[in-house]
Order: sequence, then structure tokens, then C-alpha cells
Amino acid sequence: MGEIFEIGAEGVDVKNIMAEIEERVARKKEAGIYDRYDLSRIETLELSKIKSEAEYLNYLIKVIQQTWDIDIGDFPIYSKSGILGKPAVMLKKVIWKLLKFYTYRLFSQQKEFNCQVANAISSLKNKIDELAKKQ
Amino acid sequence: MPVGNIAFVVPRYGVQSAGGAEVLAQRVAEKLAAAGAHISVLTTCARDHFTWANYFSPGQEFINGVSVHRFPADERKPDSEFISIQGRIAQGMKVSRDEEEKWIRGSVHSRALYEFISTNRGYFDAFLFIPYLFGTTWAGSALAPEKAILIPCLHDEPYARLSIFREMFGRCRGLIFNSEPERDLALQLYGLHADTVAVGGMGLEPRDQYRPERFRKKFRLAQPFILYAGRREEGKNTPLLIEYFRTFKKQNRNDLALVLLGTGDVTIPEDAAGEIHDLGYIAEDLKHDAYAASLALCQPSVNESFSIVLMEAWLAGAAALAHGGCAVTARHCLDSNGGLLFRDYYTFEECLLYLMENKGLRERLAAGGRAYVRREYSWDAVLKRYAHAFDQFKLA
Repeated sequence: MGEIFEIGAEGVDVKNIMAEIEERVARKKEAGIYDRYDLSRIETLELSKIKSEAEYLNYLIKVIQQTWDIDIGDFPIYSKSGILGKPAVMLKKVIWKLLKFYTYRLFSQQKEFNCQVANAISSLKNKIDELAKKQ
Repeated sequence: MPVGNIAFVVPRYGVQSAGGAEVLAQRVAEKLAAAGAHISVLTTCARDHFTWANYFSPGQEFINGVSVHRFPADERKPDSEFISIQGRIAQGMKVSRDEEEKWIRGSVHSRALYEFISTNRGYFDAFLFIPYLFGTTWAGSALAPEKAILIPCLHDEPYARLSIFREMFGRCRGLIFNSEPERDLALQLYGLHADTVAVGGMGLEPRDQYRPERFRKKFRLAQPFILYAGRREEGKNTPLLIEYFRTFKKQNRNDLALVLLGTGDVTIPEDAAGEIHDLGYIAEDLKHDAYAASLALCQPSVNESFSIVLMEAWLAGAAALAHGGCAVTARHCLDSNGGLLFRDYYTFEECLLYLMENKGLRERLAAGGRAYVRREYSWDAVLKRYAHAFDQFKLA
């Protein structure tokens, strides 16, 4: 939990409160408090902000930069089957561990490829931006 | 109300899981009828806005004193080309005029409804088409443009930038927007004449009583919660809210929960199942009790032309937390001093912490919102604005 806020004045001015909130966010960013936050899933959902083709390209590049580093353990294993849930989860975990053992090499190659593609696309985008500025 | 025969043209009417536009159409139609206007509703037999399959019987029925004429929706089979065009439009990519027309022809249509408009256009003084994004509005308004009044429920979205809609907005006799920011968006997008635009909105009244404890008891919710009410879909930013809240709970240790109400599929991550409660569609009375029980109503959507739930929550005594990227809800919050605004995850987190720690602030926000709704969106105020708009458009 963060600091406790106190609003003492009678009446509310949302503009002022929002300015205070923005200041707090800026201070936290500066202090590196948000560095430990993993917002990659959030970024992929912010499609609604996109209003043009150029923004969509920027969005895709951002998503590529955040998702190239695939993590094969990045999902929870669970079961919805009530009483059988626990044994089902255990079984799934065992199967997953075996699969991981045999597929690890494949995933690391894929990760290397993703990394190079992501870098190449970012470089191309920078070149395009530079050329566009010159025109 | 000194107006002649008015027909509302809306793709769905009198359905339980209606969207905001359909709710608005029904309530405004009923209030205008109660005020003495001659109101008819022309709609399809569809109930579901995904398939548009015919569900109701065609013919006339009366719903709350309003004459409703139902016509069969034409059979539609969206092919891969339609889906591809829709995908490109949604991503803000350019499509040709031909493709725009192919896409809108794949929307909901009713030949029987269009025939009725063509045959009876002399009888009606005005056709009120609502909302803008459907085939019935696009094709129907072209049949009697001199009598077409559009209540667009416009959002700032790629669809709004299609040339077919620019034409449609331009050919209508008048346009009634739900809010000033929505009107301003239309003026910016379509360059309309000021004498063809007006602001109406929808009236809301507080309920006789709110019973927050009844809601808490029924759903066994003891902890504080923020509430989402409405259709659960990507276009309304529900998945984003879930992900925001999941991250908030990872970073902040507290007992705050998120309660989701409404229709539409929603996926709650397993690791957040204990703190995000999906109650689905619940009775209207309980929904209002839920507003009253909540710490705040969260409106994450950036596609709002009015936001009924925001108004309802304020009337129930809840504070609001809305997406600052939506000009309409942001304006409501700022004008009323009734809600805080987030623009990304960081501001969402800070706003929630602010609201959690300040009961007095929540109460003052709620009071500001409530006063705003009673001042700007009482039925008296809204019906006066509609009467003024009809005068402005010189209806008989």
C-alpha cells in the first residue's frame, strides 16, 4: 500500500486532484518505483488508443519489443474440475515438466530468432522515421 | 409537446441485454410519448446484436404505451471479405469506398423496414435514427433524408472516419447528440452546419431507495469493491480493466475487489479469481444496490457518447473513476467534479489509492456527480432540449 492521502478542503476540484496524482506518478517514476512492474500484458490491451495506421505500426513494434522474450513458464496451471482439480493440476504439471525438458532447445532457438527480428524491425522503423524527417 | 408523428428507427428494441443506444432510444421514446408526442418505433425482429437472427414475431405490439413495429432482419452471412474489411477498418487502415460499402451492406438490414419507410414517409414528420453504426440507420436515412434526424451515439473510433458516414451525417436534416463533447467530435470530423446540430441526452431519476446491504448479502461480498457495469467486451475496455486491477492487486496489499456486472464473455485470470467477481447479468434493482455498495464505479471505456451507468452510479451515491481518454466521460467528471480520471496504469493505481484512503473525498465526488445529473439530465431538462431541437429543425 502506498502513502495515505488526506483531502482536507471542503468541496472537490477534480482538476487539482488529477494534477496532484500526475505529480505523484512522476515522482514515483523518477524514483524507479515502477521499474519492477510488469505491464507487458496491459500494453497489448491498449488497442483502443489507436486512431491511425501509423499509431497501429508503433503499437505493433511496441508489442514485439515486449513479447519477443518468450517465457514458456508464463502461465498458471489450473483445473476447473472441482474435486478432481488437485490431481488434475499435479498431472498437468508433470506433463508440462516433461514437455519442457524436450522442447527447451526449440524455445531457446525461437527466442534468439525473435530477438534478432525485433531488433531488425526497430532499426528499420528508426531508418524510416529518419528518412521521413529528411523529406 | 407540439410535434407531429415521429418514428424511432433502431435495429433492436425492447430487449433485455440492450446496449446504451437501445436503452436511450426506448427511454426517450417512452418519455416523449408520455409528454404527448405521437411516437412509433420501427425495428427488426432481432434480439442478438452478434447474429441478428430473427427472434421476435414480425408485426405490431405496444411496449409501455409506445407502438412498436417489428420487421424481419434480412439474412446475413458475413464472408471472409467482410471480416477482412472490418478488421482493417478497426485498425485504422485505409479502405476504399467500394470496400466501405461492402462492409456496411454486411451490417444489419431489413428490406421490409425500408419498404415501410418508403411507403409511409408522407405520414411521418420525422424519423429518428439511432445509433449511427448500423445498416438500418445508413440505408434507412437515405430513404427520407429531409425527415431524417440522427441520434448517432458517436464515438471517436476508426469507423467514424469512413466516407459513408461523413455523407450520412451531412445529408440528415438534424442531429441530436447525447453530450457536448460528442457534438464537438462530429463537428470536427464532418464539418456540419451549426443549425443542424443539437444536444439532447437521456434523463435519469434517482430510485426510491437503494439497499447496498441487500446486494452485499446476496452475493456474500464483505470487502470494499470497485464496480464495472455494462457490456463486457474489448470495445468497452473490460479486459484492460481486469488486467489493470490484477496488476494493482499484485503491487498493493489490500482487500479491495473488482465486481463485474453485465452481459458478454469475460475471462478472469486464475490468479485473480479471488479478487475479481463476475456476477453477470443481475436484476435492475440489484444493479442500483451494487452502485450504492461500491467504493466507486469504474468506467474504463473510451467509446462512450453518454454513459448511462456513470449517471446511475452518481444518483446511487457512488464516486466515479473513468478513462481520461474518453472525451465524454472525462467532461462529465470534470464538469460535475464527480469522478477521477486515469489515462494509463500508473494513474489508475494512484486514483484507486486516493479513493480507498479518502471516504470524505468519495462522498464529495458522489455528491458532485449526483447534483450534476439532477441539474443536467433530469427528464424535464432533457425533454426541453429535445423540444428545442425539434423547433430548431422546424418539425411540424
